[in-house]
Amino acid sequence: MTSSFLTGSLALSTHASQRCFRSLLQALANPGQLVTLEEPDAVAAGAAVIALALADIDTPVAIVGDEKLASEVSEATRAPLVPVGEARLVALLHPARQLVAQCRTGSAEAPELGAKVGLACSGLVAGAGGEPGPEPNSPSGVTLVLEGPGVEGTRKVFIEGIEGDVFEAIATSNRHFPAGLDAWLVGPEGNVVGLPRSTRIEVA
Amino acid sequence: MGYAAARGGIDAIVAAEELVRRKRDEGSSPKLEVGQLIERLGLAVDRVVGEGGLWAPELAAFALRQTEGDVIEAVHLLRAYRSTLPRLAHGLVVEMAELEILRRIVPAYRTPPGPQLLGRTLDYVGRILDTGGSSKARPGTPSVGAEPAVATGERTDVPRLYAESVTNRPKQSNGAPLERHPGRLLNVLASMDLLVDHPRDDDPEPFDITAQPVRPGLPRSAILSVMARAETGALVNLWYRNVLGPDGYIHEVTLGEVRHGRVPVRVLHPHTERPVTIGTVRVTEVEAIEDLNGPDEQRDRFDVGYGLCFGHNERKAIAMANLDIAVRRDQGATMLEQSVIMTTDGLDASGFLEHLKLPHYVTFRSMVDRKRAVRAASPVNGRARTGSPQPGPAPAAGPVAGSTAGGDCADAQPAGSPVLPLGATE
Repeated sequence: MTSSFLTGSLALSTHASQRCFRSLLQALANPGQLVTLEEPDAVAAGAAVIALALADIDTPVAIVGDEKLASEVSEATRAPLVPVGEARLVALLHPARQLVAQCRTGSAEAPELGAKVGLACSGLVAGAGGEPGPEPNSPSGVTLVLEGPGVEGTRKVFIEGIEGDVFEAIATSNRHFPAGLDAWLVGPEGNVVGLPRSTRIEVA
Repeated sequence: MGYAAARGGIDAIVAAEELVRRKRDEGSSPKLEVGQLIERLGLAVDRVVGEGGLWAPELAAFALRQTEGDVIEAVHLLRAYRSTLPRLAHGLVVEMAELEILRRIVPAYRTPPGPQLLGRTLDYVGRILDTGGSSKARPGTPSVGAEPAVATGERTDVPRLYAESVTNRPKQSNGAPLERHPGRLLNVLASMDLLVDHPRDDDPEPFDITAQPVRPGLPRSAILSVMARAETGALVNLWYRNVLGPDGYIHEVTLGEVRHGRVPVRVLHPHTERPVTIGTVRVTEVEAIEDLNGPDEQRDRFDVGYGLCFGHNERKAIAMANLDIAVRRDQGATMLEQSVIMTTDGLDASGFLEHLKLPHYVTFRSMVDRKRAVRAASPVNGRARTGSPQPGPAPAAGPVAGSTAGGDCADAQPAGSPVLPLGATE
């Protein structure tokens, strides 16, 4: 059921966005585990897939780092564009500590108001199944050690293109659980890793 | 994870679902067509539509068929399905003067503006069980309102019961076409200066109960929204116990309008930005006139409660209108507003209730431990009060095994154990 209301060139079909939703949910339920988006249109959107697949007319979104993409996603979903601090869905194409710090975290009474944040990265290596993840050897990236619900023991993720202090900012935002933000690392070729607010993140 | 005790129960769960499916889908009678449900069980479909908060009669009929007629389960399916779909547009405000009546009665006044139109109702017919299956009208039954179903071309796979002909309208006795947009009794009362005025100069956005949690202290739009998709029986019960029962917060109203009809749905066209009508929905609308009698109230005037819900459901709309004015008069003095907001949603209530069937082994084990701890801490060490030093027979707790849910019963107690023999095997 493709709606004639959604006319932007990026618009996902209802079923495509539902499949993306399922993949993103899978990623959050299994922190640090690699999930791959299959929809070509969603893959092309990069980190903005968070907004493209999940937003509708009632979802304020912020897409930081590419104004053209932001307006195209807004046109495709009819979602209003707002500053990072007011957005329910955020895509950071060049993640930076101060941008993460602006994202909403909700409160203990209203944790659902915490932002869902997509962070673009240029490289992403993580285990696909229950594996603990690879031992990367590139010196240019960051290795995260994850622990918490959905992770048996610990799990490692290797990321290129995001500075380590970004993850410290996420940990800071999540220090008052259940308030906090849920993040996805979005790499090339539709690779996604979820970092829900319940996950303890250590930058190795 | 107190509830996640379905150890080894997956096979049993799958088999249980198969039992439901087999009886529902493979009985000896022909499978129910969705069109039949819409056409012949239309009031049940309307309840699901209304309590689901989604105008989708065909989906509601699918849901009713899937749940074997369980309205609340069907509502659950409908709301869950809706939650997977994006919102595409916001409907524009509809003036209720646009409601095209299929039925309209004014119990308060013999000659209101416009007609008293009975439409489809069995209100005045004897409740005589008909087991004959005859579809013929009884002799002498007037055919007024029995408008033919006419396909509108929107869909061809589902009979359009409710696409009543607009052209083949019944005429009034004087031959004039029936007034389908009659004026309101309230306007008459207002012109007699008999209504309390509630002036407001702002125009706030209505509270969206599907996006924000509802709590007491919310605007009237939230309370009305909650009631519009509340469970019919819950509203009726709340109304009844307040009129007749122990709460007694409200008294009986007189109904000014009871209407069932169609209203248009309009949105702004995404390109032209002009209003465009994209369909119609059927609603039941009620205005309830309250005879104010409180010491601080304007006793020379009436006030009005409002009820509106999807589909044809007069019982619900009447209860809603009466509760609406009652909540406003109550002004938070009693628990009434909280009862309306927090306890009338069918899905909330039944979800909470149904969860009691899930395994509570761990929480109950903890309760037993506490009982034992209390007994052990009592001065006489509990023995004197039990009255019997020997272990009694195990009541009910005994052999639970034998249930086909197999592996789930790994915690079952060995037969012949002492009273409440919850061992250390959990």
